[in-house]
Formats: sequence, structure tokens, C-alpha cells
Amino acid sequence: MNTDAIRMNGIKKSYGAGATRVNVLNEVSLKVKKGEFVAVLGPSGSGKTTLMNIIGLIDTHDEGEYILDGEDLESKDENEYSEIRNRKIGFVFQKFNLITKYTALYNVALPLLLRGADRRQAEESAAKMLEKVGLADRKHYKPVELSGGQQQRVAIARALVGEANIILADEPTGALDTKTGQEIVEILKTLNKNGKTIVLITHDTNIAKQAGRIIHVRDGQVYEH
Amino acid sequence: MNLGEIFRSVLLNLQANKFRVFLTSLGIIIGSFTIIMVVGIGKGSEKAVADQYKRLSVETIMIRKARISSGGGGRQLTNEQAAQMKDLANVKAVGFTLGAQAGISYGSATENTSVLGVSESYQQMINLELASGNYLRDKDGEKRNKVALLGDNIAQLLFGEHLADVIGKTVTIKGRKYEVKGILKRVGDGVLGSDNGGGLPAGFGGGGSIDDSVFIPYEVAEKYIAGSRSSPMITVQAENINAVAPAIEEISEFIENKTGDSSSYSIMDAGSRLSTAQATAKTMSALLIAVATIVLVVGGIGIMNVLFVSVKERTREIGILKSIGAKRKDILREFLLESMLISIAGGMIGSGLSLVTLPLLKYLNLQAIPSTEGILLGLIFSVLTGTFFGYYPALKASKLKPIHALNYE
Ligand SMILES: Nc1ncnc2c1ncn2[C@@H]1O[C@H](COP(=O)(O)OP(=O)(O)O)[C@@H](O)[C@H]1O
Ligand SMILES: [Mg+2]
Repeated sequence: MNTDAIRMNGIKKSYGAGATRVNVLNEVSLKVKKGEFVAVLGPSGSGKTTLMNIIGLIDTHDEGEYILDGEDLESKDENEYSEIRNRKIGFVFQKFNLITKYTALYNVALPLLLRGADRRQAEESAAKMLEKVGLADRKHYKPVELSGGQQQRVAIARALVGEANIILADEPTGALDTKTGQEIVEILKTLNKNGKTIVLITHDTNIAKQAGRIIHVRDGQVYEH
Repeated sequence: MNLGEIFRSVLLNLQANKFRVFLTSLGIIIGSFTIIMVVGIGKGSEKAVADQYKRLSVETIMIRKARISSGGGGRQLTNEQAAQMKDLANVKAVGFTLGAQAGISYGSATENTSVLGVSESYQQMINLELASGNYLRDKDGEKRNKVALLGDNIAQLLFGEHLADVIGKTVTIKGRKYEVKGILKRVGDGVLGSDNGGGLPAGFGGGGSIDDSVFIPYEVAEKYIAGSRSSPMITVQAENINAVAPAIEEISEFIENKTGDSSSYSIMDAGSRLSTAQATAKTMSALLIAVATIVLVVGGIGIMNVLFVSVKERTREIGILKSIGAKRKDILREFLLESMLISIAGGMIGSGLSLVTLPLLKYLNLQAIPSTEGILLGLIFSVLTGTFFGYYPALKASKLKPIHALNYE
């Protein structure tokens, strides 16, 4: 089946109420095909993160239609959202968002454990993923013992371990120097070559240019050019 | 997430906050400790009451000069007069007792014990049973024969294990020589050693165990053992249970006639004394249970507090977990399990402490019996408290919106 990975129609989102109300997203419509590598580019505060949180189901939109991987999300409940986050989406955050008390290995194993996998299996898969991102020798390190670039690679391994097809990366290079950031982008490019759909948020044009397609966010709306 | 993993994560978390966990569980430790102590003391005091009265049949009526004589004060009832009560229609027998603590020795062995002067009839009233030798006779009293019956413990302490030819030997009580006339059968029931079995009737000089007591003729005790100010206790046996109430009436009238003031004597039957004492023991238990409940509730609120702090501290973690697919029930279970583990651990520590402490209570003259029921009750209450007070913070944690949790600083 060749449905779109992401299809949004007239999505609205605002924060606050009354006088302090801010319309962050104003009638956003967006299509991302399966296997695409899309960069979302825009100035700080333009609503990129808000858009990505809605795509990744960790925030809810006020109005509009959102179809993820062919499924209408309108009628789904919290539990089903959790299930979808777990199976279809892999997040990579600017601040890594690893759990500091766990080792790299356990952090990566978590999405599988949350599915109910037993630990041996989960850690086996996690170890393979860490190998893929070049961290085979850092499995038992805790996040504080890793550099920023290494932490972000752990986060990528975690996003991949559940075999999600959509990877959402919100300024994954934002906390890294240019060289390390570029390494992360290279990993994402490789993933895309292997068939993953990638939405990469950035405010860096040099990074955005490496994607197959660029979407601009401005004043709560998206433009292709 | 399967329970094993949740469990692991909870343990990791508890380990990282050991001191806080300890402080949290303190309330539960004290609460369960209190419950188990309460149950133990309650059982102990009920048993003590039962023991105190088990030697006395319900037909027994005790008469004692009230300590504070009521102003006008009648004359003192003499023992000769009291003995006449035997002729009352509803009275079967009248016995006298007079007791004091005194030293008893044989050879180099010396013991301090309660020495009780008893009339012949009294021996039957409390069902004294002989292991060897003979009972005390009223004649012994009349002739002031210095003879004694020894409780089993005291006999062993003085003569060692072999009591075969102790009869006829001479012991020294308060400086005077007495011939051993009989050895009593052991009454200790072996539940917790002889200390708890076969107590003597309440209100009876010191009320120790029969095994630890020495019995001598009443008149001999009056002359050599008791102080001049000690007053005897008169024990009356009614003809049968139904005769108890009329017997009390008769006795009261009798004393009124003889002394002009029956109110300066307390007349009470064993049955109502028993129920009074039991009621007191029950009230005490109820009171202590109320205290234990309060302690547990306070402990529970402590848990709730700490769990709220824990949820706050781990809000980002909850957000991360939700973003990678944790469900409400995963988060709920994690925090609930944390609270339950704290309370189970607290309950077990409390039980352990109480098991160590309960036996020490005997040095405070409190009889307390450790029981499985008490421990179960303590543990169950701990877990209930942990679950009850842990549920709300856990529920709140589980309902956090992923986006809010993730953005929490
Ligand atoms: N929870 C929130 N409450 C109120 N305003 C918010 C909240 N989150 C984001 N905003 C506002 O929405 C706008 C877009 O934010 P964001 O999506 O984070 O932008 P970007 O990621 O492009 O920098 C900003 O003006 C921001 O202040
Ligand atoms: Mg942003």
C-alpha cells in the first residue's frame, strides 16, 4: 500500500486563552510520503517544535485532520496513542532526553521493554542498534559519561530499536558542534537510504539543504519554498 | 512493560534514594510495630486475666476490707465472725488468705517469694493439687505448726530436680524453720514457660504463680509472716452459680449486722470481677489499636508526600517514557509498586522490631504474646496503607500529558 506517512489538513493549534492566546499553528496542511527525507526549516519560535509534537502524538491539535500511516487518529484514545508512539514513531530530541539513571543499553532497550519484551531479547536488539550507531563499546555507560554526540547517537538507537518507520528529529544537532552535528545528519541520511521516513527540524539552512525536500514554517503556516 | 522490569526500575529508584526511603518508611515501621505490640499486649492481658481467675470457680466471692474506711467506720469483722458465714443458706465454704513477700532458704539456696497463709478450705477452693505429701489442715493452724507446701518452681530452686524425698525436710522462712509438708503439682502450662501459667487469684498478695508460691497455715502466716497492718482476704464459695447473687446479699447483711457498716467491705464475685477485668483489657486494646491506626495514617500521609515529591522529580522521566510508548498503567504501576515496596519493607522491619521487643515487655511486668495474627495484621495494614496512600500520587503521575511532562523543568 502506498499511503502517505503523514497527512495533515487544516491543523490549528493555539496556546493560552483570552488575551494571552497565541495561535501557533494556523491551518497547517502537510504531506510526507513514505521514505521521504523532509527538513522543516524556520526561525526560532515559529512553531516547528509544536508541529513536530503534534506529528509525534505527544501534543494534541485543536482543529483539523491528521492521518498517520493511513490511520485517522480522531477516534483513538491515550492507550492507542502510546501504542502508536511506541511502534511507528522514533523521536530524536535536541536535548537527547535519555534517562540519566539508566545505561545506554537500557535506554535503548526501553521501547521494547515497554512493549512487554523480556530483558534479554530487548537488550540484545539494543546492543545491535548501538553497534549500528558506532557505540558498541559504550553500551554500559550512563548518559553523563557520554559526549553530546554520543548521547544523540544513543537517542537515535532508541528511536530505531522499535523498528519505527518514521523518525522525527527536532533540532538533533542544536546542542552539538558543526562536525558532530554533521555526523548525526549522516546517520539520518543513511537511515533514509534504508527506507525510513525522516522529518528533521532545524533552523540551519546548511543542514536543511541535505534533505530531499524543505518545508518552511513561518507565522504558523507552512510553505514549500 | 512487564512487572519484572517495573520492579527492577522501582528497586533502582529506591536504592538511589535510600535515606529518603528510610524516612518514608519510618511511619510504617512504627505503625506496624505498634499494631503487633498492641495485639501482643492485648492477647497477653486477656490471658493474664484468664489465668488470674482460672483457679477460681465462678461461685467464688471475695470479701476484703476497703482500703479507705468510710469515715464513721464500723467495727472490724473478726475471722471468727467471718467463719460463721459458712452457716448462711447460700454459702458452701469460707476460706482465709493472708500473704506477704518473704525469703525462703534451704542450705545455701535462698529465694524471695510470696508466702501465703491459707485456711484448709481455701486449698480446695483454688484446686491446689499435690504432687506429694499432704494438704495443710486447720489443726496445723490451731497448733501454729510451722509446715509449708511448696510450689513446683520454688521446690526445684531450693532442692534441685529431684524432689523425691523433700517431704519432711526443713526450710527457713523469714528466719523460722518450717517442715515441708507437701509439694504442689506443676501448673505452668508451658506456652511461654511457667511464668504465665497458673496465676493466683487477683487481689491475693502479689498474685504470682502457684508454682512460685509457698503456702502455710493461715494462723501461722498471721503470727509470723504478715505485717500487723495487712488484712486478710475472705473467700466465700457459694453453693452453686445461681446462689452467688443471694449469697452476696446474705453476706452483706451479715457484715452489716456484725460491724454496723457493710460499705467498708468490698464484696465481689469472681464472675463479675473477671468480666470487669476483661472489659478493662479490651478497652485498653481498643485504645492502643486506635493509636496504631493514627500512627499508620500519619505514616501513609508521609508516603503520599514523598511520592508526590518523587513524581515531581521524575516528571521529565515520565515524559520521556511516555514519548517512547509508556502507557498510563505502566506509570501507575511503577509508582504504586514503589509505595507498596516501601510499606512492605517498613512493615517487615516493624514486625522484626516487635518480635525483639515483645519478650522484653515482661521486664515492665506486661505480659505480651507474639502471634502470627498480630504480624499478619501489621503487614496487611502496612501494605493497605502503602497502596491507599500511594494510589493518588501514582494516578496523578500516570495522567501527566507527555508534552507537559517533557517540558517540565
Ligand atoms: N506550552 C506552551 N504554552 C504557551 N506557549 C507556547 C507553549 N509551547 C510553545 N509556545 C509558543 O508557541 C510558539 C512556537 O513555539 P515552538 O513550537 O517551540 O517554536 P520553535 O520550535 O519553532 O522554536 C512560541 O511563540 C512559543 O512561545
Ligand atoms: Mg523548537
